[in-house]
Amino acid sequence: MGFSPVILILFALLLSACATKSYHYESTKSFPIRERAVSVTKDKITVSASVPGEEEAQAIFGIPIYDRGIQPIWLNIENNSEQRIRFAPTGVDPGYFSPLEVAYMHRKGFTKEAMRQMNLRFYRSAMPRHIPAGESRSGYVFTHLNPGTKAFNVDVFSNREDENFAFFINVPGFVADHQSVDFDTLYDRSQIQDYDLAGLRTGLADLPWFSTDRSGEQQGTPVGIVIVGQGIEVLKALLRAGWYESPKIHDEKQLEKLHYLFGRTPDAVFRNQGGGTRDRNELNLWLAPMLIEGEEVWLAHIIHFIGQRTQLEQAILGARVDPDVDDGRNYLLQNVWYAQSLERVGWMAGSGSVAIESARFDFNSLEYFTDGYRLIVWLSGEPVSLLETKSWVLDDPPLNR
Amino acid sequence: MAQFVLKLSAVLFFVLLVAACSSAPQTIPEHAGDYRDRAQSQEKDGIRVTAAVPSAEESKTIFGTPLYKRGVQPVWLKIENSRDETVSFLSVGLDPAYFTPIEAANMDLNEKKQVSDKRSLINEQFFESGMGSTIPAHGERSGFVFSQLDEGTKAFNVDVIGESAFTPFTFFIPVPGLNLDHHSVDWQNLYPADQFLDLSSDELIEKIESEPCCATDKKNEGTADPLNLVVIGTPDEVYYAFIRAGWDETETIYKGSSWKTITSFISGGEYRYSPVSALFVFNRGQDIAFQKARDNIHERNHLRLWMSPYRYEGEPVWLGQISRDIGVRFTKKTITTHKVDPDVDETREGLLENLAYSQALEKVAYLGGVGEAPIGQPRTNLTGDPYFTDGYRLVLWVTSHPTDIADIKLEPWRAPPDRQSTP
Repeated sequence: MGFSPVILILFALLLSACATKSYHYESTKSFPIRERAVSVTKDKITVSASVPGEEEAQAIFGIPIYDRGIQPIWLNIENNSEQRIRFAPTGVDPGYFSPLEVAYMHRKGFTKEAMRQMNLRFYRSAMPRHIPAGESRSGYVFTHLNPGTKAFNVDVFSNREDENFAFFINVPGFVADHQSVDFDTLYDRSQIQDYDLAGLRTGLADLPWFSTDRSGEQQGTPVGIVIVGQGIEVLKALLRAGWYESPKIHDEKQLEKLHYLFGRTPDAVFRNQGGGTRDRNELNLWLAPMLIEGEEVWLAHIIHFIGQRTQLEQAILGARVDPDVDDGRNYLLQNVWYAQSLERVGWMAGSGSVAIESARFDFNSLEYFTDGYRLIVWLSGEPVSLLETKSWVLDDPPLNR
Repeated sequence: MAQFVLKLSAVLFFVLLVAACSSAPQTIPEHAGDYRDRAQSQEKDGIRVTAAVPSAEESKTIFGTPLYKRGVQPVWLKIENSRDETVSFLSVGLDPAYFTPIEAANMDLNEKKQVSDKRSLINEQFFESGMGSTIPAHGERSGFVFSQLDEGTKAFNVDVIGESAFTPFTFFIPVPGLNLDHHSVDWQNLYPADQFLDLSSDELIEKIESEPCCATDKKNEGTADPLNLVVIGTPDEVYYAFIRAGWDETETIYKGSSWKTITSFISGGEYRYSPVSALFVFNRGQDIAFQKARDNIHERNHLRLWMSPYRYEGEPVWLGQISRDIGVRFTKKTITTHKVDPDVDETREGLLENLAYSQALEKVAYLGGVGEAPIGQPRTNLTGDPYFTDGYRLVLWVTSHPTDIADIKLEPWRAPPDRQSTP
């Protein structure tokens, strides 16, 4: 039987009848986008960058582009050199959206004339690729939305050289978990001991080796990662390595499932997708009551999600995680090294090894085994060239993997 | 009723059969199948790397589970270390989203059970088969790395690091299983030897700028998409450059390929190698098509290349066309077609950057030949998609040898196009 043509025609008419929306937008100048911009100058090139929040973006482009997972970055590049330079949006986000693609994604309901105006709006607002000598250009790059601080590079090229500008920009409307922690009052000053490298083994051995549940009674998983660096440096290093921030968790039910250390939930939770499209890893960080050569020390562990579960299924049914927690630890080492965030690396053998044959379950019924080693990484906010990473031998690295 | 019982017992029997087949093998045989015959070896700085990639069938034989169906592709490696120091192999360098062995063993986990049943996920056979990382001085290590699936040609890096040196290797390994379009082209006999023209730069500029603006349909009629690319390189260099930059090869049209296209359309699944419709230049369909998926199946880039009878500095010159699909739309002619981004220059410049960041580009230049079509007076392709352009052709010298982005030269043939903005 199927649909009669009359119904189809009616349906089509109905659809086209919906296309009645007209298109309105506001100028970037109506918002403090330029005023908020962060500027970096190298040689004779100045790059300024700013990220409109969700509401600002909706007004500037007349459509809710954050809802589609698109985040615009506003750039101004001032070229005071004697050469034309080229800017590459691919360097900001290799999967950036083209301006007219963003418009096409939002076409529903707009009249033909409105679409023409929207196309022009997006086309004209795009950041141009070429900046002639002695001139400046500004415009937007349309990137994938990520929660939290926006970390990105702006690369410019001339026939003679290239320059790289790194940005870490706060986006209005997002508060990361670590922003609500008062790190100055976490510990009494008298509680914090500063160790030199020679005394480090003692210092680290005193720190807990396992997380616990909320009550502090049931054992969690090994905290096999020690990160050394001031908070802001660690943040930049992780953002550059593709990790993004999380908001604070208030839901009672979720708090029950979190890992605890020093009697509290993680001071910061980061997630990454590791080149794939789903969240692959979660990194939980706690500030420890010790310093190494005056620098802050963070205990951490990685939870590596496996299987085909969506985020919703994970929330309802719980996440499946990889019992091979050492792989998560070794992954972080490679991840920060490739991201040029690693200044120094060391290993410390521990006592808490759990063999694969006698794997254990933690308080969340998640399984794990481990060689018991602790990885110590000194992270750097400024890029460290791959071959300049130093290793510092406390113990030989685990050789069986 | 009797019939129902019969059916039920048949189903039960089938279930038992499946259960019997799915019991895990005791040990993973590293060398099942003949994929090792296709192994390639490279040696540098006292490190010898041998790599091989089992096909879908071979992987199933080795691991007893259809890894390819789950998006997992095992890569077999052997690393021999003749240095006086311990070195490490870096799995993130091979694939930043690699699967751990236990993860690979559990990729069929789609059961909707709560995580409170304390069911062990550990599969020791898979775990033992993993490549691991450290290779002691004068020792060797072999095993599998579980990577994201790439059919056709598998391109990957093997990075080895020790105190004294960082030693990167790049492999391109063909994996059987696809009917690839470029395998059916006889490159040696595409043009008779006397038809090849070795051109000087002035001659090349003149020839390229006088080629037609656009591809055509089969009858050599109609104007299809603009020919806005010129690629210079041997067929091998062209594959390697595009594969390194993340492009997928394309299957020719055969019975299996249309079946895969239909099932992927229905299931919403991904068929990254689906045949690409033919456009015509030099009176023939494209010699090679590449495609690159973005966020979902309807958003991908397509690229077609035709080898021309021209050679420049000894290397073949190709004409090409690139388009960026930004969605699906309905047409009278073909029922559904991909909606192409009308800003074809943006797509063209994105390709330049994609190749440059993938270290697959040596030199670039701009030439005319497409003819300008301003945004207010767009032209249309064969399926009625409008496009506008500054009229330039982008000339890309591609290379299989990793080339630093800072070392890319700009050949000053025509000034690169400029654009204004009003944010």
